[in-house]
Amino acid sequence: MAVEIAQLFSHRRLGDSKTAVLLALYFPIGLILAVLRLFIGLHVFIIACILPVQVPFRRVLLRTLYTVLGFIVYPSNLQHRNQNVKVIVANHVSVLDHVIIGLIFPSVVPNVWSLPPFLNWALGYTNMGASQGRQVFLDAVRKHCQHNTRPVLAFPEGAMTNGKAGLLKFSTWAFALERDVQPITVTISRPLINMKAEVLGSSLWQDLLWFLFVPFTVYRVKVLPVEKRSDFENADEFSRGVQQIMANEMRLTPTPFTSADKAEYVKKLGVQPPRERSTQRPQVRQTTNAPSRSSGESPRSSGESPLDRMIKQVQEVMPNIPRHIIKHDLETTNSVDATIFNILENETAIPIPAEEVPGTSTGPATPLSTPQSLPHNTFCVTSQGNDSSSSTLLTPSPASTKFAADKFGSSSKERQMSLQDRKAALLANARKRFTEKSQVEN
Amino acid sequence: MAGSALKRLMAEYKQLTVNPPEGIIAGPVNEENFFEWEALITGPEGTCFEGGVFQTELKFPTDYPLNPPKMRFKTEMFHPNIYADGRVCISILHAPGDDPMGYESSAERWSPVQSVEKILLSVISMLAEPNDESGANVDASKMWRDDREKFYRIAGELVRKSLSL
Repeated sequence: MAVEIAQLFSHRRLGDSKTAVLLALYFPIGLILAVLRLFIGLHVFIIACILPVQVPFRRVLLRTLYTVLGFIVYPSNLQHRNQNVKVIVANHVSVLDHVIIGLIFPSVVPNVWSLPPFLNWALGYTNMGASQGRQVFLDAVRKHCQHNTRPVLAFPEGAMTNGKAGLLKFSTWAFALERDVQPITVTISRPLINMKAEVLGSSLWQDLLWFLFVPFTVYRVKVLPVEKRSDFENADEFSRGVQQIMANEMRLTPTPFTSADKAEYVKKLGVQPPRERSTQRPQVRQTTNAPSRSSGESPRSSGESPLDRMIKQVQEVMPNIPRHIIKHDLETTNSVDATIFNILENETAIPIPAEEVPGTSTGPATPLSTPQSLPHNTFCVTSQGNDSSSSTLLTPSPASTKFAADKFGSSSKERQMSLQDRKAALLANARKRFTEKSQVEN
Repeated sequence: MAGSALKRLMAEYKQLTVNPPEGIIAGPVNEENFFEWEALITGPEGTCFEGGVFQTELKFPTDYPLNPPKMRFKTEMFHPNIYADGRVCISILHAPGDDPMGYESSAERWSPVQSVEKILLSVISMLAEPNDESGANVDASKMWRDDREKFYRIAGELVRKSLSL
């Protein structure tokens, strides 16, 4: 009964071999279609920007144009929509879900991504201060709900699934806003050529281009009755209840996996040769990371060479070291241990990240550096972990308090001495400054 | 397993020695046991802990970096997110699995790409911005909310104590 995490997502764009043959035949047509639609799409985008949301024919016009672009939308059970309910929650199956739902119910999608402002605007997200922490964000959304007639649309799964096996665990923010939420289910299908709308490790732009390429994509949007939170439920219980209801409606299984699990799963696939994938139990939290993998690189790259594997082993130990340096050294040593030793010993090999200003704590690449895992995950930061808000407080003082050693001693004794010296220096410096300061104050 | 933990700790130790963040010094208490570290943290500028030098200890599991270290303040502290015995309540020290506060903050949870440096920087942020929602020290949380003046006074006293002045 239990759904494994692997079943939740599409691993390949193409469904089966029959589709591959069809695709080959269709390819020239698809290419022309994609180019044409790219230009039409540009116009649609401009129209959507110019026309105010309230204009009644806007929806009709846009819907026609979307059909031309290959998006066919079937809304159902619209009678369940209650205009007074300001929070809509939907499952997430493609990058354009919010656009499609926005066609039926003009809504506001709070931005929980860290996107550049232009992209943010172009994709139709609204910034509500998610980067400033959960409380600021929730307050902003609540305020919006009170003063605005347009509902807030949330994808509590936080990441896309294939919509075939299960729903990801819901994040709770959307359920903490108001007592009522309006669940909506979205299913996606592509008749004729069965290309998946979401694929693990695919970028936003890839997904969008395939949308223009395929003959058409059918969205079925079904409105479910409003759910009300009872007095005895907290946001978490409520979210689980709604997840169950939506899952039942779509005949899916609610799963305990979160969007973070998905990100981790994607990462894991990136470091495992495909043949091992089927035997690996996905629930086991495998924590091998290849943080410096460039974001564009497909995590599904198969056929790992022994060298790649060794590079990854070294990176696990030293995530800060750029790949090319490790590779260069491994090529001569051909041994993980020898390379680690060399890098530790050889000062010049490590580009001590000078640009890595202390306080910004960029450190090694964050686990969320791949584009497909960037959205939603970065959401709702607790105040202590939040780099952006707190780093401002950590601005280095003019009297620098950096106690760096000139070099990392090669013997244990040397290192210990240096450490003790630096500790003493830090303390002495702090004492001096403290006394100076209190003298000034008095 | 311990071998790769050692290598990783060594690499981090080197990084922290040659290029430490502002006001931080960290390293093994004694190199015979690389899994126990001591770190000195300077209270962030412009906060009530400014100027203090706080002693903390970090205990690493043998499967580090798969699991986070445990961190404890050895200097006396009074802070909403530090328990009376000095343990620190901060999301980066929790593995994504154990989840006391709702999973949305999993981005700040422990993962092998985090590091000692990031933990220490997070702790400094925590000193600067207490989070009175997850109160490890209820008295401190309450005082932080209701009587900021008094909180600052106590913090100032602790800063003085931390410098043994």
